[in-house]
Amino acid sequence: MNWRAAGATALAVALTVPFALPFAYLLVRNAGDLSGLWGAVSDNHLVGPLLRSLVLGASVALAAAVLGTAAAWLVARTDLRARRTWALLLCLPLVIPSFVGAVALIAAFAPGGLVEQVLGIGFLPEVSGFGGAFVVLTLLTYPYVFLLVMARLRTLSPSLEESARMLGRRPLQVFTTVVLPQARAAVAAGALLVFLYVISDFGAVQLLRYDTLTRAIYSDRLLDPTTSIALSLVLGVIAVAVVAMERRSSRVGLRDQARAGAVLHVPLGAWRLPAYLFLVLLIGFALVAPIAVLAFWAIRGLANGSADTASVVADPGLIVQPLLSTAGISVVTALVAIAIVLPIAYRSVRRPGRLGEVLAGTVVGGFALPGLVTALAFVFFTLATPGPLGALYQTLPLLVLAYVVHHGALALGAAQSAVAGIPARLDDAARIMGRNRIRRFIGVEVPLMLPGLAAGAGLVLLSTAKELPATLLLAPPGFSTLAIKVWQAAELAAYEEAAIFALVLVAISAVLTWFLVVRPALRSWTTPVSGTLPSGTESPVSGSHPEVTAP
Amino acid sequence: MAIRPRAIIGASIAALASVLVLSACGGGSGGGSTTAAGGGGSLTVYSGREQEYMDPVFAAYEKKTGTDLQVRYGDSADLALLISEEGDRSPADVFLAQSPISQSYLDQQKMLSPLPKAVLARVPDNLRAADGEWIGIAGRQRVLIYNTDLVKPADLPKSVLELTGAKYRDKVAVAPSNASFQDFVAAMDQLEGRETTDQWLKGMAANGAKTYAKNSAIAEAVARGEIPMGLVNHYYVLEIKEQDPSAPVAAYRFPGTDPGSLFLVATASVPKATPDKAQADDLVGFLVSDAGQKLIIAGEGEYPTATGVKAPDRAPLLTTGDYPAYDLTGNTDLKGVAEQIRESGLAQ
Repeated sequence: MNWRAAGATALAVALTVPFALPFAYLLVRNAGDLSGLWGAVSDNHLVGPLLRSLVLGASVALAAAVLGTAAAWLVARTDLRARRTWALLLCLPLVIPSFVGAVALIAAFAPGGLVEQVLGIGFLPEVSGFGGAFVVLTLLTYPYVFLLVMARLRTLSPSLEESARMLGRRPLQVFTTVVLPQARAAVAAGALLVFLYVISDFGAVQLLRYDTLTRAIYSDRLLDPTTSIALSLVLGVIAVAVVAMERRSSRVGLRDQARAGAVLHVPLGAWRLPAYLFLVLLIGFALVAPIAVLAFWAIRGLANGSADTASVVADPGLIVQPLLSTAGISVVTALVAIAIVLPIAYRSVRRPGRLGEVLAGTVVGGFALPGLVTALAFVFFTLATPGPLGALYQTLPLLVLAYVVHHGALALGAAQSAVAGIPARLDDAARIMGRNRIRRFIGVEVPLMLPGLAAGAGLVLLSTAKELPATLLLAPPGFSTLAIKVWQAAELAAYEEAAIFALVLVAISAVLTWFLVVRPALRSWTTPVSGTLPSGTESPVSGSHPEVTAP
Repeated sequence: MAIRPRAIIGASIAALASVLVLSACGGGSGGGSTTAAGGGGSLTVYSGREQEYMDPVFAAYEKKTGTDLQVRYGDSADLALLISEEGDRSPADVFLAQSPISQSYLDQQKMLSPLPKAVLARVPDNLRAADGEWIGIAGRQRVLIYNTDLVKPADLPKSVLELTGAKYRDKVAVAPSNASFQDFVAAMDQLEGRETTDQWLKGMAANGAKTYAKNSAIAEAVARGEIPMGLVNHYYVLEIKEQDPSAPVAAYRFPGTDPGSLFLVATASVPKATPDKAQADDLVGFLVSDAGQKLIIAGEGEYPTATGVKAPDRAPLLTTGDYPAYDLTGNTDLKGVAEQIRESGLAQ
């Protein structure tokens, strides 16, 4: 028993080491120039950008939490029609790179833009600055919350909800008094991811002319690397602090009661129309609107044709290789990420304590570091290590590992929630019945965790598919993804070409998300092991698992 | 219910297989996947210049020499940081950057090796590093892009220094995070002195100059009429016209040797870490040869740097040879430029 626990701890610690590399890199780089570090951090020109980063991160996180939670409840727990289709559409904005979202918003709504030209509507609101950045980032990041909360709600016990309904509560009341308290940890985890993403985003904020810390990091990265590295460290410190705060506030409530029977679907009744309207508007602004702008460019480009034979407009065959590369590398990354974070999730959930929090915090905090920092950290450590690791430099396995490290936070939140959702009683029942650890894991726990793991895999998949800096620096020469093609074309202001690649990116992501995420997460649930659950078995270790407190 | 994990394991094996196949096929458009090319050997190029415009140039060189080129495309500054991080284990034999400052960064870390005299002699002195560590391979004219519906030609300033005047309040767009603006500030430091440049930057900020992410964003904003004018490189005007021939934009070059009419260069260098200096030099030599120059300027509408090569018809702006003479070489105070821009308040 003890050696097994020690083994699990050792495995979790070992698997966390790669996630610490970006932080270690920043420390190594800063260590040589402590006065430079101090100078950069104390420069009062950076107070404004720092505050703007925090304000934007907090407000987008809040808005995304509201939108994502509402959408997740509608999809997971009500008698909404075509729930899988809604779920798919609600996930997809995540794959739109933030710079594409910003370019589309500007092209559509700026003075003299498409809405004014094509639809003849003037007097549009100002799109740049805080408002524009807030809108674009909220619409592109609410899926972080949506996916985690949806997975959580699919595995909640329906009994409380049932009682509330029988007591005559209306759907909205059921949601606020029963569902929300139980989903709080998932909402907080999703909002945390949104916050970390927003403070590290560069593409949208810069195009929308909202001056945050990342602007200083990027514009100084070559001219004044000391400042740039120091400011990246500031982002990392903020991230770790916020992660620690989040963990403290949501530690209770991770474990829930045993699930029994099918998922409860609350009848929407008179709320049906507003519910559909909400989803249509959300998807309309977050997905359809950017796609409409992209489609406008793509169609205009295809209609005009292109004399340039190197253009995808003239040669659609150029799509094939980036398409296959994107699909392959993002699916592999999603699966590897889940496999790597799962032991960390087990360790941090099953044995709560300082070590588990440090491990989880390391994985999650890295998400706030700019992708460029993660990439350079991998360059630094791969080449500094003698032996076989150096041979991996600029190969696909190393690229996958860098993706996993950069996106580990996305997989971990979902995995922790999935592990916590395994009822202790069930686990113990299987143990009593003599199943060994591995068979118990595959036969009992994996099926139970599937909605959560699928959600985590989905977040990693969609984020990897749009990733740029690590791909540009670490991929083998000649390896190209759709996101790279979108970026290259946008750099040339060849928007018809950027639009075609971006549309293909959304389409392939839709296919992958459907099979890898939506179907596993939203199958109509019949607990596969319910027959094996002996009623009334008390958990001998239940004292170490905080039980959810009934609201 | 079928056991889903099995399906997922199946999917992962399929995905892994497809990635392995992809990596085995390797190559990609830039590289060409002949493993052992004739007598030519192989070179790795890090290119901050766009794939669409460089692929034809590299293909021509591969065909001419039988060399196998592996190309990593990316942002110039990111690639410079990558080479610096890789140090003496860098696979890069040749580095192409959109601007001189990326080269200056590596030059100042003593990471570049000087190019042969015969290669350097192809371009005028002011279009290459004085120490011979990098060479200009394509030229860009800094211009003022303006919206022809909003600005009358008579109202255009005679010098970039006039843009701090009340007449241009809230009317000018700049991209202070962009490398070409940073080049421009570094050059202005040399031409006008740091004091004047500081005052100009602060004057621009005080005069309500609007900051944009990059040149293309400025060009698009001017075309929409969001702002009347902005400082960009000349080919962004060509690009706007290409996307929409009726767009109301034009480019204006400040007369004479005004610092606003800098002629900036995209650059090539050979990192010290290359094991095959002769071959790397040969590729750079090709880029400034007549054949290489013609292919390079066919793309974006840039200007040739090699003497005797004719400018493309689509970029007729340059009729004068009066360029301000500056030297963006290893002595450029990169950190100073960053501080100047930061302290001007222009970035916010």
